[in-house]
Amino acid sequence: MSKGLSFEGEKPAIVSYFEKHYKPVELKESGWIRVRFIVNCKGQSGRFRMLESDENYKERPFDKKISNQIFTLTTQLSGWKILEEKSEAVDYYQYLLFKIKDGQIVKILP
Amino acid sequence: MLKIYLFLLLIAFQNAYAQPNCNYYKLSGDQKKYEACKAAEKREGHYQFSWAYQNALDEALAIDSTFSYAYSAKSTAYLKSGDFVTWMELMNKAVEIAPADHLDYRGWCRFQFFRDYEGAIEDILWLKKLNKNHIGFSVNGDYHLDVALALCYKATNRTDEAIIILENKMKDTQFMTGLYDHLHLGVMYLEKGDYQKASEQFKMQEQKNDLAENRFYAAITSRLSGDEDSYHFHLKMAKKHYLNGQKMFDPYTEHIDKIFLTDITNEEQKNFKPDSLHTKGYVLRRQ
Repeated sequence: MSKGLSFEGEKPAIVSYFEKHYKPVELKESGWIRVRFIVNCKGQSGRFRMLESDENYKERPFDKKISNQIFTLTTQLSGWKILEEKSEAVDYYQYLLFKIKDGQIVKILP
Repeated sequence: MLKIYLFLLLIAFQNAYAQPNCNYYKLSGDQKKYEACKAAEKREGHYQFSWAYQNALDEALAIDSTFSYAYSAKSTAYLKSGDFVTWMELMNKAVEIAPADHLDYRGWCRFQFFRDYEGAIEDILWLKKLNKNHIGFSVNGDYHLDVALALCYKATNRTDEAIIILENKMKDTQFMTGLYDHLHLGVMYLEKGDYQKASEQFKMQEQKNDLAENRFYAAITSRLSGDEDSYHFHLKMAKKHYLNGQKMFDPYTEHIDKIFLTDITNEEQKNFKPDSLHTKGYVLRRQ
């Protein structure tokens, strides 16, 4: 069972990071971009995979000006906490889901 | 007579979210669906993301491709891993076959996992039409779907409609408020500038399920009402509850109206001073 998002500064820190670094793209493209990755036993993230869809949840790539930014910024985001199970640090999967409206990030989930 | 009684009992269980009771299909004469259901049972004890779990459901669908439950059960692993494309493909099949059985789950997940408010509204309203307004609860049990509907309206700048839904719900003597219903209604009143009603709802939340959130918003309400003592008291309690873990929590997503420690510390810095551009009402963050 997931223990929720584990990040230094919690969700506001993630939101603040993207607000600071993501440059909105003036294109009428909307939908979701999910970047999934692994956080290892040292709190480092890696093995990034991206999934993009339109507003009907159909797979559809965004313009690179949007998706490259989101992917790169996610890879550079640091602050993931180490997860312990039975006092031992373990690797875990994590994803960030970006709700995009007309080239702007309107929500970051979870 | 006993067979009829058992049959009726199974119909009641059939409408629950969990794995259907396979004997229901047998007693109603649908042998194919019965066999599909039994095949699906083989997934029990296996990890949701595992080949064995998914394969049991694939076998069920190979027996009967209209066994809608299997599509829904398969979809959950994809949802949790963030593969929303496959999740929706599977859920669309389930809804196409049996909308009354699966719109609750699809609608709720559209709201909870994707903040797809318009999509969730569409699904919940469709379900209300099919089931004559009897729509039940979210899959995690935290919310009646009418409350979820209200939260979707609030998030899409239709707070007045949201308030009407919640007020009507709470007048219903058959309705038992959920874990966070009073909090959400209080936040809606706070947004509209009705501080007295907001305060009443936060008090009810405190009595039902006291969290950092209701204390935080009660502090804001106190500030906007000019009650300094209550402001400091509630803000202190908000921080205490937050640090003790007494706050809104979901293992997969973030609740509407959830607060974070920085919200409390930012408010502490205000030290009861009103916002310089204060207008009536308050919104922490538009969801």
